[in-house]
Amino acid sequence: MRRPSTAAIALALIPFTAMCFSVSLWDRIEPMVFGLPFNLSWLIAWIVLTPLCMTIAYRIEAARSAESGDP
Amino acid sequence: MSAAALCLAIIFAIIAAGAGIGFLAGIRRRMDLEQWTVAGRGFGGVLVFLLMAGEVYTTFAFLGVSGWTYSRGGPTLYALAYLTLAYVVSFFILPPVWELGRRHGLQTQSDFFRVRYGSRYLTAFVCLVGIAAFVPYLQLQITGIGIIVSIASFDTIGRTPAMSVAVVLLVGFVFAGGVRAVAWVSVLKDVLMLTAAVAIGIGVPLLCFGGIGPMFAALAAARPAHLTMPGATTNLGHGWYVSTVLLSSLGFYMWPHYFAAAFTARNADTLRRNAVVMPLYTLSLAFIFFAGFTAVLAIPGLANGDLAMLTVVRRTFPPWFLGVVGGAGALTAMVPAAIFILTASTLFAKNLYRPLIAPGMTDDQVAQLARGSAVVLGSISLALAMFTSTTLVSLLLISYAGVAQFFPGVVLGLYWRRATTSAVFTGMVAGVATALILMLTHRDPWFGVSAGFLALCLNFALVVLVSLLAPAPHTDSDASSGRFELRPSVG
Repeated sequence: MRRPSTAAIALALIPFTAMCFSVSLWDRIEPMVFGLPFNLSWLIAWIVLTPLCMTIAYRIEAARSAESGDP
Repeated sequence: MSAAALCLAIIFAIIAAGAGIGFLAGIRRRMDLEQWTVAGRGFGGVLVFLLMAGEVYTTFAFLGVSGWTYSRGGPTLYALAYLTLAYVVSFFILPPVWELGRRHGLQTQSDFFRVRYGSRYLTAFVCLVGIAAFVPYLQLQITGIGIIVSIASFDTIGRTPAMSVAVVLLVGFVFAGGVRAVAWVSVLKDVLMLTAAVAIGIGVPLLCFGGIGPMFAALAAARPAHLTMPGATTNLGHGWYVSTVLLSSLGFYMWPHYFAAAFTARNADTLRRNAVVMPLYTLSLAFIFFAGFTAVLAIPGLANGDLAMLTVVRRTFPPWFLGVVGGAGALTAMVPAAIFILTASTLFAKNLYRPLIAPGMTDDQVAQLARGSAVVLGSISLALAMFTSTTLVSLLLISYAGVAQFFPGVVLGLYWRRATTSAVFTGMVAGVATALILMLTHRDPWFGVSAGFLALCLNFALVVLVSLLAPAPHTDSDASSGRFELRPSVG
C-alpha cells in the first residue's frame, strides 16, 4: 500500500501530542473553563479540534490520490 | 398505571421496536455469506457511521465510564482521549484494509492475515485469540442488559427473564439479517442513547446542584483530588494514562468486529471521511462524565460504581424517563452483543472450521454454519451470564490487551513490505503471552505503565527485528515506490 504523506502523519500527531503525551501539562482543575475543570475542558476542546486537523490531512491525501490517479 | 408498569411498558416497546427494525432490515434479501457478513459492501457514510458508533458505545461505555468516574475519578479521562485518537489511527488503517478487502473479497480480519501472510497457523491463531477475546465482552453485555432492565423496571423484572428475552431477539435478527440488521437497529439505538446521555448529563447535575458549573465547583471544593489523576486510585497516574491511551487507541480497530465493519463501506473514501468526523461523537461521552461526577457527591458510598448512573437517574428523574433510559440501555447492550455473535460465528465457520476441518465447503454452506453457530453462541453466552458472576470486567481488560497485539501485524503488513510471517507470528505470540502473564499475576499497571502496552512494545520490536534478520526481498519498482501487491495478486 502507498504510505501516507509525512504531512498527514504530522497532522495526526498533533491530537496525539495534545491529548496524550502532554498530560502532565494540563491535568489540573484550575483554571476552570465554562465551569469545567481544566483537564476535562482541554480534552473536550481537542475532541472538536481533532476533526479540523484530520480535515487538512484528508485534503492532502485526496490531492495526492488525484495526482497519482488512484481511487 | 403504576410507575413500574409504565417503565416496563416503555422498555418493552423500545426493545420490540429495535428487534422489529432488525427483522425488517433483513427481510426479502437472499442472505448469502457476503450479504450476511459485509452487507454486499454497499453502506454509505451515514450507515457506516451509525454501525461503528453503534458498536463502540457499548454498556461498557454507558455504565463503565460513569462507574469509573464515580469510583476512580480523574483517570477515567483516558476514555475521552483514546476514543478520539482511535479514529485518527483508523484514518491510516481502514482505507487500505478496505482496498484489499475489495480486491481479495475479504470478509473477516482473519481473511486479511491469511491473504497478507499466507499461513494457516497464523490465521488460526488470530482467529482463536479474536474469538476468545469476545467471550467476556459478550457476557458483559448480556449481564449489562439484566442489570439495566431490572433497575429501570424498579426491580419488577428479574435479570434472567430480561437477559433471555433480549438474547432470543438479538440472535433472531442476527440470524435473519446479519450485519444489515445490526446497522439498522443501531440507528434507533444511537438516537435514543444520544438523547438519554445529553438529558442525563445536563439534567442530573441541574437537579442535584443547580447546574454543571455549580456541581464541579462543589466537587472541586469537597474532593479536589478526585478530579485529577490518579484520582481515587494510587497507581493510575500519568505514565499509566499515556501508555493506556496509546494501547487503546492503536489497538481499538484490531477488534475483529470494528475491523470487519470497514468492509461494509461502499468505498475507501467513506471510511476516510468517517475517520475525520467520528471524533465528534465522543462528545456524547462527556455527558456521561457529568452524571458520574454528580453521583460522587449526590449518592456517596455505593458498593458497585457501575450502578451509579442508573441509581442517580432513578432518584432524580420521573419514572417514564427511567423507562427510556432502560430501553436505550438495553439496546446499547444488544447491538454490540449482536455484532460480537455475528463476527465470532463467521470467524469460527469461515476461518477455523472450513480451513482446518472441511476444506471442501462452499460459501453457502459456510453461511449456514455461521448462522447456526450464532444460535449456539447466543445460548452459551446466555448460560454463562446466568450462572457466573460479573467479575469478568478484569477478563475484558485482558481481551483488550490481547487483540491490540494484532496491531504490528496489520500496520506493518500494510505499509512495510519486509514484515515476514514468522516475525509477525513470533511478535504476536510473545505479545499475547506477555500481556496474559503480567495481567493474570496482577502486574497491571507494571511500574506505572499499562501491561498491554509493554507487551505491544515487545511485540513490535520482535516483528521488526525478526523481519530484518530475514534476507531482504528483491527490490523492484514496487518496493522502491513504497507499494506492494499482496499474494495472490488479483486485479
